[in-house]
Amino acid sequence: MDNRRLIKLATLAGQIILESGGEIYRVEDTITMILKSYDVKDAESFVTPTGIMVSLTDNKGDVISLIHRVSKSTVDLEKVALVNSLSRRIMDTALPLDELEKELNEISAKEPYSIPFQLLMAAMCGFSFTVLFGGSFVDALIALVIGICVRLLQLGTREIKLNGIFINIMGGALVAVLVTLMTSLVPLETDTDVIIIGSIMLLVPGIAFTNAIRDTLMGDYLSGVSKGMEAFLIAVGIAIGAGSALAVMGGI
Amino acid sequence: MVLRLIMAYMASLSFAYIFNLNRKTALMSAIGGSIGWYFYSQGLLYFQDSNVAYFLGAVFLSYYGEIMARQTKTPVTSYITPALIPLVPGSGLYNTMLQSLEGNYNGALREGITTLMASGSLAIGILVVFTLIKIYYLIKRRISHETN
Repeated sequence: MDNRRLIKLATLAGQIILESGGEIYRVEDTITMILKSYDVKDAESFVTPTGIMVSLTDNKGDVISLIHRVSKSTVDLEKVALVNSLSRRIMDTALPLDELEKELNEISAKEPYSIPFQLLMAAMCGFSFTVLFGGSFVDALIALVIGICVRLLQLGTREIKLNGIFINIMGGALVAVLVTLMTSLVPLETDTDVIIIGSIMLLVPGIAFTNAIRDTLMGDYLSGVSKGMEAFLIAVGIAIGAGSALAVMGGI
Repeated sequence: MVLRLIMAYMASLSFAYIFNLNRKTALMSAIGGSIGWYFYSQGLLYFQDSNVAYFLGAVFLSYYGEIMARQTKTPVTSYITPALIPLVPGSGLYNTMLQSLEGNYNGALREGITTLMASGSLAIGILVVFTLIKIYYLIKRRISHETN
């Protein structure tokens, strides 16, 4: 049994979950579950939202450890689910390392939905939230267009790895500017507030919020607080962006 | 009401797809969005208090999420996160910003605290269900352990 390779693969599994927006305790559990399914004496892992530390004690008492820094952060709950079920399967019957590596690479290389489909979903998101919050059909149609623009901004800035708070300031500003412009262009009666609220829903920190709650529940206060802070700062970023743009556009 | 429920379903569904869930899980998890919204609006109707309403919504949607996650052996997050989105107090956030922009800091503070309370109610709702379900499975396991 090649323990060095095993620890690398277990860390890769953890890394996929961490980068795809899984909870911190799930990353820790997955890594130790994978390691302990194989022939080792002891395994421990300590994960923060930005790094993974794993250590493994083999049967002769030698210790191997590995530190991995994680900076990328996307949302891909499907990958979390896939790695999760893989680690459960390994717990029942330990897979050979070659096979484990192949499966992990397959999961890691999985493509998200195509961009047109994502844009369609963003359009649906803006539309349905505006109707949900009491907007008229015209309001919802405006939010539909804005939803597409916001998603394009999110996809574009993901490539150049901008700071998350800054993206949300830009997103909030984009929503406010577009809403002010489009409501002045459309001759029908529209409700600016509802359109803005419906459109910024696409930016709200849903995943950070849920993970903050769930990590805190699992007793991982360090990650809980840092995820909660992330959710709070994103919300503040949206408000700053939308607020400053509204002030500049004079659309209050 | 029915229109709102459909809209809540569509909103959750769009988020489920943006979070890249597979088709089947996305379709199932979005039902949680409607459930959450239904109990939220009913709570608002009967108790006239938004915090109680948010709490109720969170309780029922996370109950649905926990059950479904166990049935399908998928992480609970996949079910709870998309379902929670329609209840996220986006309007509170917007109103806080609007009030402070107008220089009305009392109003901003009031709206801000209301938004934080709403988030807190959602969190407590999820917490209660999570803990109760954990206790339930613990007891169930212990009982089946003793009878064996």
